[in-house]
Amino acid sequence: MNTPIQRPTGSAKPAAGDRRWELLLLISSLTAALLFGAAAFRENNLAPWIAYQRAYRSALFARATDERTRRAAASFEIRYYQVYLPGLGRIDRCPTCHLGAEDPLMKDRPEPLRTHPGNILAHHPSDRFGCTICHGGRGRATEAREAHGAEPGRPAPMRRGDMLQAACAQCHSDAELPGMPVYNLARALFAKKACLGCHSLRGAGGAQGPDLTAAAGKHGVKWHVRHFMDPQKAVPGSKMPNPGLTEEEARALACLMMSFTGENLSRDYLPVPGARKAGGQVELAADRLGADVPPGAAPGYVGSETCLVCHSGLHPEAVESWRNSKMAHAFEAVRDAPDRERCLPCHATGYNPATNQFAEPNVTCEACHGPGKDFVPAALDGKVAEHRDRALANVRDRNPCVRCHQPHVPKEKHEEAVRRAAPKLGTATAAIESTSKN
Amino acid sequence: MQFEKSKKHTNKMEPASAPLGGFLHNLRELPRNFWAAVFRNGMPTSERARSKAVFGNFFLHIHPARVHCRVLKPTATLGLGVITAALFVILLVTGVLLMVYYKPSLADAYDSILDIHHVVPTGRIIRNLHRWTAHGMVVAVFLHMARAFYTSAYKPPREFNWLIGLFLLVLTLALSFTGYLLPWDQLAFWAITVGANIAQSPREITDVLGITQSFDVGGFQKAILLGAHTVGQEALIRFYVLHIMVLPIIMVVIMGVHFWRIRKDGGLARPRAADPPPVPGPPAGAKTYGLMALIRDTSPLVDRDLKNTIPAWPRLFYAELAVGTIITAMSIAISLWADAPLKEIANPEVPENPAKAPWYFLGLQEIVSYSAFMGGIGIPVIVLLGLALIPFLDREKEEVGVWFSGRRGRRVACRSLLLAAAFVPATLAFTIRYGWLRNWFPEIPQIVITFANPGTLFVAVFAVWSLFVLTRTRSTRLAAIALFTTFLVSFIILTYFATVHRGPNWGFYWSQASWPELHGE
Repeated sequence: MNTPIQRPTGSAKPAAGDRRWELLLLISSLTAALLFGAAAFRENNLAPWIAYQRAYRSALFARATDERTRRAAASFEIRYYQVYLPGLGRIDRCPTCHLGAEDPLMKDRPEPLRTHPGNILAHHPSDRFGCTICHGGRGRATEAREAHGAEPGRPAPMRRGDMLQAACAQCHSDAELPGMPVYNLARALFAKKACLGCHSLRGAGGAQGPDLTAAAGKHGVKWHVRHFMDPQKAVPGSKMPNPGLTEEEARALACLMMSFTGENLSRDYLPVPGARKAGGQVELAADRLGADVPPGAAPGYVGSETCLVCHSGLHPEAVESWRNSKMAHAFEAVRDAPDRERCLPCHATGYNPATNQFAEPNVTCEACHGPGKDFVPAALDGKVAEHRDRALANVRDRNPCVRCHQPHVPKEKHEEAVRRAAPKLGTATAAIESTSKN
Repeated sequence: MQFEKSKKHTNKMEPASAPLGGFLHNLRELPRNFWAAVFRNGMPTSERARSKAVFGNFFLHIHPARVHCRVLKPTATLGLGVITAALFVILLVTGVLLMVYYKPSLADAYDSILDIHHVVPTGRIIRNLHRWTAHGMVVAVFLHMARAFYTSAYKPPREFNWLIGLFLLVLTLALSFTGYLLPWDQLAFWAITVGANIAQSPREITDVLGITQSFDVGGFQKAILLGAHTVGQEALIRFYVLHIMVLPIIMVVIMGVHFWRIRKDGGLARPRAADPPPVPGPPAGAKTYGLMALIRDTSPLVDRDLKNTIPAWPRLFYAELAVGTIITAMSIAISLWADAPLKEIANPEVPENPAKAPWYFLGLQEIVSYSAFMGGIGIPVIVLLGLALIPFLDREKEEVGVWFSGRRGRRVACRSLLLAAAFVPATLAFTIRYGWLRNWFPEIPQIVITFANPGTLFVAVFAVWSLFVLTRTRSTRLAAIALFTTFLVSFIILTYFATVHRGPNWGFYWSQASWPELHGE
C-alpha cells in the first residue's frame, strides 16, 4: 500500500501556521509597546501639576510689564518644586502646584495658584517650616487626591478650616495665641478637665486612660467629637467620665487631639527653646489650672469642675450624695443677702475677705480638701498616691468641718441671726425654712 | 584575500594608506560581520536549519528542536505555564528597576515608595506593573497547577516535575509574601504581623502539652521570620534580602530545572489519540529506518512520533512570545487603569481593623480566626503533603493529557464542585448565624477548637467524599479528582468570602460599604 502517511491537522500547512503566530506576536508586541508608551506619556506629560505650572507661567507673562519681569516669566521652568526640610524629616512638594503661595500678586488667582492668606508665612517662613507641618497631608505626593489625603478610612487627613489650629498646638503650648480661638479654648479645656489625670502625653500624666501621644493617628475629628459628647457610646464600657462639653468645646478638644501626632519635632522648631522637654504639655495643664477662678479669690483654688472630671467617675455615689447635700446648694440661701460677706466664708469656697471675692459658690471639694493647686498637679502627673495622701492630709490637719459647723453656735442661733439681719429677705428665710424642714 | 588585495593596492599608491584602506574596508563591513557573528546561520529555511537554530542557541535550546504539534493547541495547556513564566520575567525586570529607588529602612522605605509613585519618571507604572503581575503570578501558578492536575500531567514519568512545581508554588507565595512588607504601609505591616503570629501558632499545641518552655517551635519560627518580637527594621531587611536575592535566585534555578524536566520527561503530557496509529506500511524488513531521535516513552514510536512533530523554530517561539507579550500588554493595561495600593505609613500603635493577610492567605485566615495553628500550619501542611503524594498514590495507567481523564472524571469533578460550593457556604452561613463552639461554651479549651473548627470539618467531609468516590468507582484517579476539586473550590470560596465579606473585628458584612465607621473623617 502506498497511501501517504496521515498528517495531523496542526502541521498541515506549516507556512500558513507560521504566519498566524507571527502575526499574533506582531500585534501583541505592538499593543504592549503602545500601552507602555501611553502609560509613560501619561505619567510624565499629562500630570495635573504640569497644567497648573503652564497656567502659572501664562499668569506671569500676563502681568509682566517690563523687560525684567518678562525675562523672569520666560525663565520659569516647568519642573517639580519642593521644600527640603532635613530638620523636620520632610520633603514638601506642595509648591509644585501651589506656585503663588508666596507671591502677593497672585491673591486673586484661583487655587492652587493663589497667594497664601493671612500673614502667617511672615513668621513661619516656608523654606524653614514647609507646608505639611501645619497643613498635614502627604508632602511627597504630587497629586491632589493623595497629597490632600482624601482617601477613605484615613484617620488624619489634611487639616482644614478651624481644625488647622490643631497645628499650632504641636509647638505652642506655653501661651494663648491671638486669632486662634479654637486652639485657645482647647488649651483651657485640656487643663480644666484635667485630662492628664488619667491620660498620659509624652511620658507624663496618668495611666488610667489610653496614651494620647499619638492620638491623631488613631481616630478622626468626627470620632473624637462623638467620643467627647458621650464616651460610652463611642467606646462601650469606657471608664471615662462624661466631660459635659458643648459641641463647640468637643470640637475644640478634638482639634487638640489632632495635634498629638506622636512626632518628635526638633527642638529648633519650638517657640521657646526646650518648651517641649518631657512633659511640656503638663506645664500646659498645670499653668492653666484654676484659670477660670476669679483672680481675687483666695490663692490656689482650681474649682470643683476639675476634681469632678475624675472623681464623678471614680466614686459616683460619694459625688452624688455631696450633690444632693445642703453643702452643694449652700450659696442659694445667701446669694442676695445684704451683708453676705459675713456668710461667704461658709457658703462659698475659697473666699478672700481682703477682696471680697471667692473661687466658687457653694461648699465644694476644696472647702474641705484645701486649695487644689497643692495636690492636683500630682494627679496630672500620674502620682495618684501623692495626690490622695495630700488631699486627705489637708482634711485631717485643718479640721475643716468645725470652721463652719461650730458646736458652740447652735442651729437656732444661726437662724435667729439670719432673721434679724434680713427680716424682709424672702428668699433667704424661705431657703432656711425649707432646709430646716429636711 | 582582503589583506593581499590591499597590499597589492599599496604598492601602487602611497605606503601609508595600505593599512588604512584595509581598516576602512573592515569598518564598512563591520555591521554585516557583526550581524553574522551573532546570527551565525541566518534565517533558517530548511527543517534541518530550523533544528540547528534551536539546539545551537543557548536560550532556544530550552525546547527540543522538534516538538509535538499538539503543544500549539491552546486547550492543551491554556498557555498557563508560559503565562506564569512571562509574569515572572516582568517581575524580574520591574523589580530590578524598583530596587534602584527603594531603600529598605524604616525611615526611608515608605517615603521611597511615595517618591517612586510621584516623582520617579515612569516609576508609577513600573510599581503598578510589579504589584499587579505579582498577584497575577500567584493566580497563574494556581491555575497552572490545576491544569497539570486535571490533565494527569503528574503521572509517571512526570511525578518529580510535579514536586518541583509544588516547590515553585511555595516559592511564589514566599516571594509575594516577602514583597508585601516592603512598602511599609499599614497594609504591609499588619498583614505581616498576622503572618508572623501564624508562624508562632504551634504554641497552641505546645502550650497544651506544657512544653513551650523547652520546645518552642512557634516562637522559633516567628523569631526566624522577624528577627525581633515585632515587625520592625530586622524583619524589613530580612524580607528585603529574601525578596530581592535569595528567593529569586532559587526561583530562577528551580524554574530552569522545571523547564528542563519537561524536555526530559518527553514534552507535554499528551493522550495517545494525539498520535494516530500508523497506517500499515510495507512489511517489516522491506524498509530500513535511520535512527532519527531517541524519545523517552513506554513504546517505540517509529513511524509515528516524528511525523506528528513540527520544528520548534519558529512557530513555538512565536506562540510563546505572543502569549508573553499578550500577558504583558494586559498587565500594562491593568496598571494604567488601577494604581497599586498604598495606605498610611505603618503605625504599630494603630492596628488595621480588620488586619488582613495578603489575599491568597485569606482563605486560611478564615480558619485562623478559629485556630491559628490549624489554619496557618495544620491545614496547609495537610494540603501540601496531599498534593505532593498525589502522583504516588494515584498510580493508575490512565491516559495523560486528557482533561479530567474523560467523561467520568468530568462528572466526578462537577459533583465535587457542587458539593463544595454548597457545603462551604452553608457552613459559613451557619457560623455567622449561630456562631461556633467558643460562642456556645465560652470556657471550652482552645485545643478542642484547634481540632474541631470549620477548616477541619471541611477536610474531614472532603476526605470522606473522596473515599466514597474511591469505593464506588475503585479509581484512585477519580478519588484524587474529587479531593482536589473540593479543596480548590473551597479555597476559592473561602478566599472570596474573607476578602469581601469580612470586616472590622472579623465580623460578617455584605460589602465594605456597610462597615461601621471606625475612625471618622
